[in-house]
Amino acid sequence: MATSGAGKSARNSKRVEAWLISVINPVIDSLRREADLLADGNLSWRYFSKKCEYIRPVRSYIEGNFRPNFEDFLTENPQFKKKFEEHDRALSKIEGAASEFAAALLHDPLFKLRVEEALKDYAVEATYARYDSEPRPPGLASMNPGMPETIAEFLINNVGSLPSYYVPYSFWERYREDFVKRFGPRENAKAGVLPRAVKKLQGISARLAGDVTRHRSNLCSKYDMAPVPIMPQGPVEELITRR
Amino acid sequence: MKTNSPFAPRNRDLLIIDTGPIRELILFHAVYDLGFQSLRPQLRPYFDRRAYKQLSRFLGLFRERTTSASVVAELYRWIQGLPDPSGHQQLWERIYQEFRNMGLNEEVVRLIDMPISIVAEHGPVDASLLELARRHLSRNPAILTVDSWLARECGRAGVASGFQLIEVCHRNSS
Repeated sequence: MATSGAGKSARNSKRVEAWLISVINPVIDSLRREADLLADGNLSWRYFSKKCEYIRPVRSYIEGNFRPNFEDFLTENPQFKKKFEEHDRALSKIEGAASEFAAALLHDPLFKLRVEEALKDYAVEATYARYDSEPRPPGLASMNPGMPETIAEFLINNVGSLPSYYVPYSFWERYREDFVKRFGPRENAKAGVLPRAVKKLQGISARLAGDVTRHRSNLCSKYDMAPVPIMPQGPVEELITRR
Repeated sequence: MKTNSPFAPRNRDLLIIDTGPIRELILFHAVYDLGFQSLRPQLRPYFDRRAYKQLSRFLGLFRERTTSASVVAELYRWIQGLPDPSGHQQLWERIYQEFRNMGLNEEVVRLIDMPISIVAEHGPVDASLLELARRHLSRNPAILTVDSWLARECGRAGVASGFQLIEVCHRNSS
C-alpha cells in the first residue's frame, strides 16, 4: 500500500510539516492558478520558448531549495509520481499542439495576407494621427518576435484586451475580433488538437488538485497538524521568509 | 474627443524607466503568476494587484519607453543575488517578456559623458538616466523611479519630470 507516513511519530512530524509548507501547499496553489488560466483559455504559451510560462511541470512549482523535500515526498507517497507525470505529459502535449498550431498558422497564406493587410492599415494610422491632439500609436517594426508570431501567440493564449502599455495594444484592440473569428484555435475546426489537449489537461489538473488536497487533509488528520502550520521562528519558516 | 478609441491620446512621448519599477513588475509576476512565494518579502508592500493596474495605466500614457543599458546590468546583479538559481531562467524569461511587451528600448551612455560628481555619489545608473533625459529633452521626457533623490533631481536639473513609483500607484487610484 502506498504510504503517506513520515516516520514513526504520528503527531506533529517535522517531516510532514516540511512537505506541507514546501511541497503540498505550493502544488495546490499552483494547480489553482493553473485551473484559472485554463478556464480563461490563457495557456501563457510563448512563441520564443515554445513553452507555457505560467503552467509548468509539477516539479517546477517547487522552489529549488525545496526540491529535496519534493523527492522525499514522492519517495514516501509514490502514488503521486504517476499522477504528476500524467500532468506533465498533458502539458507537454499542449505545448506541442500550440507550437504546431502556430507553425501551421504562419504558413497559412490567408493568415499571412490578413496580417499584411492589417499591418498596412495600421501603419497608416501610426504615421498620421487622426487628430492633431492625438499622438500616433507606436510603430510595430521593432517587435521581436514579429507581428505574425505575436498574433499567433495571442490567438493561442485567447488574449483579450492587452494592458495599454503593451506595444501592440492599439493594433490588437482594432483587429482582435477579426483575427479571432477567422483564425482562433477555438473557432477553427482544423485546430481541434489544441482545444482537446487543453480540455485534457483541465481534467487531469482538476483531479490532481483534488487528490493532493485530500491527501493534505489525511496527513493533517493523521499528524494532527494544520494545513498551513503556524510555527515559531523555526528553520523552515526562516528559510521561506528569508530566501 | 473619442475616449474609447484604440488610438486614444497618449499624453507624453517618452518615459525613461529606472531599475526599481522594472524590478517591481518582475516581482509582481514572479509572486502572483509564477508562485515564487519566497520573493514576496521583496515586493514593496504597496505593490499589489491594484497598484499593478495603476502602473500599467501610467506606462500606457507614453508612446515610447526607454532605459539605460546599466539598468539591465543592475537587474542581472539583483537576480544573481537571489539564492535559488533554479528560478533565474524563469525570471529572465519574464524580463524578456516585459521588455518585449512594452517595447523597452535600451540606450548606452558612456561613463565619460556622465557628471563625475553624480556617478561618485549616486552611481552610474542614476547618472545615465539623467543623461538620457538630457539627450531627449525635446521629447518632454519623464523618469519613473523608486528613488526619491532621482525623482527630485530631474526637476532640479530641468531635464525631465520625475515620478516615484509609489506616487504613481497612489495618484492614479484616486
